[in-house]
Amino acid sequence: MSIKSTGSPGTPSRFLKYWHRHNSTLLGLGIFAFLLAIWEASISLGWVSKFVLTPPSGIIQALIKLSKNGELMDALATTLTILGAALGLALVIGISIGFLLYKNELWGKAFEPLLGAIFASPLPLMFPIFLVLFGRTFYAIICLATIYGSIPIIMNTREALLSVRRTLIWVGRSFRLTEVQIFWKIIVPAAAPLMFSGIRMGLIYALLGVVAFEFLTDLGGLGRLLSELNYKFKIPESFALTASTVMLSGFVLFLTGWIERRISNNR
Amino acid sequence: MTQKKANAVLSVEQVSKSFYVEDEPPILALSETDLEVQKGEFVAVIGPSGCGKSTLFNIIGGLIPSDTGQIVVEGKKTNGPDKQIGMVFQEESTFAWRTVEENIAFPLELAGVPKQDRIKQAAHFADLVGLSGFEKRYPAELSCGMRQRVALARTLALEPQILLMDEPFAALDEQTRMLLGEKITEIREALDQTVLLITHNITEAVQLSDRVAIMSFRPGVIKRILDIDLPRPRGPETISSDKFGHYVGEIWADLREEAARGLRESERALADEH
Ligand SMILES: Nc1ncnc2c1ncn2[C@@H]1O[C@H](COP(=O)(O)OP(=O)(O)OP(=O)(O)O)[C@@H](O)[C@H]1O
Ligand SMILES: [Mg+2]
Repeated sequence: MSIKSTGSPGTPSRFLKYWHRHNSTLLGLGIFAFLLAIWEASISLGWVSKFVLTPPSGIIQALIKLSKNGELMDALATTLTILGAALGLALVIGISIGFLLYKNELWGKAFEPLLGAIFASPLPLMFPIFLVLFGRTFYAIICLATIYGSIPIIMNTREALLSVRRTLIWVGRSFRLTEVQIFWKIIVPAAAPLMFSGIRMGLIYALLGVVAFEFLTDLGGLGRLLSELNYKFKIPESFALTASTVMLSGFVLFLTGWIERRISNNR
Repeated sequence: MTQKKANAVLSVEQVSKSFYVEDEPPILALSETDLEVQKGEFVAVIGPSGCGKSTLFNIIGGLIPSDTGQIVVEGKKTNGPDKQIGMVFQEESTFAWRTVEENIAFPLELAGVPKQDRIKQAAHFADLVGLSGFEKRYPAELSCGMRQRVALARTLALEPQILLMDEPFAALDEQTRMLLGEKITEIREALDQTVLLITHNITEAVQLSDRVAIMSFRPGVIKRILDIDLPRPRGPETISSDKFGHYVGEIWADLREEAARGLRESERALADEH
């Protein structure tokens, strides 16, 4: 790497390099900051009433208040616990069923459109069914989130395992590996990136399901807190809660995206 | 016609294979094919696209069963992939999730070779195929030709007696192909291997082989075997010699007919579809 840049070699080129590597992120942050500024300004300039739209500064204050009295942390803990349980179950169920549908071509083909239909159907349609089945309990939430999380995991697991090229499997055969060795040493690592993107989608769907169902059933967690704050017309707090939920999903996306890039690095 | 020679290390005996595709007449990819390879010999099988070369390769490697006939390795009929045979595939076959070193060490790892030893071995074979210094890279960071060399080194790592290669250089440019060809010849001498190379490149076949088996198009069968009587090593002087050119011409004369027939048949198949 001995290419010399034509400009001065000091700070400017380092800045440019940094910009080129992260330009999309930086641009995104810039747009975000710009929107926040407009938001803030529109209220402080009196264009919009602060009773309708809480400015970002007000949201931050409300957020601090909610964190201090422990309500936010309690709700977050509940939501994360439910999400964790649902994700764990979705992983076990999703990967096993995905594997079975990969092994059995007929069943795989038969189930694919069915799963796709469930996956594409609007989430709230499912709520009544789960309420009837489990009553207004946390089990209903866990179950719904598990099912919602499992579907992309099932579909991607099958798809990922099927997409492993025949030549790679034949390399294993030519080395006289057993079918079990071929599965673990070749098929699974080759399928890992696509499988993980299914897991990522499953996690996002499960989170969506948990918060929405919490909101509806009023049982606990971020969803319930939001519905309570809404009900009491605590507008800044509602905004603060929405913001923290967005941050939570943003964090989940970022983390899983990072893992995904690690897994499919160099492909 | 199978006159057995005492030291044939690999023989293909009366091998046939048909493929059945729905709503179409069966494709007779190989028809009662015979081929004998002597120990230490370098044999090329050449033929037009679709004549059944890869089918023959896969049957010899024990990856697909033949309809009739058998494969005999060192006097023993094979049943599935044989320990003596190492295969290098036509398609990309490196493992994207493993570094060059880990790719090459793969068969050693599964054979239970301790980590220190297999790293050392991998470095040795990486060096042999000219990939020293790239051990820690991932396949995606390499060129096509380098990846094909990784696959070759990985197969060599188990030191198979017989090396089977299916158009390993097909995706490469002419110069790289010729250099890799030289490399293969060196390696074969160093490891005392028998090589069966599948190719559709006439120059490559003449440059590398002791004998060239010419395949016909549908049914695939070995039509003629030509001895290449040229001194080794075959450097640029040999390749530019009249004798080399004569061999190339002779093979082309045989292949031309087959290739033309292949082209006609695929055109007819296209016309039938419309
Ligand atoms: N699994 C299969 N199912 C159906 N037909 C097949 C199958 N494999 C090969 N064939 C057919 O058998 C014939 C021989 O194929 P093969 O792959 O052996 O050709 P090839 O000589 O290796 O060609 P190329 O030089 O293009 O690699 C072709 O006509 C191909 O269409
Ligand atoms: Mg082929």
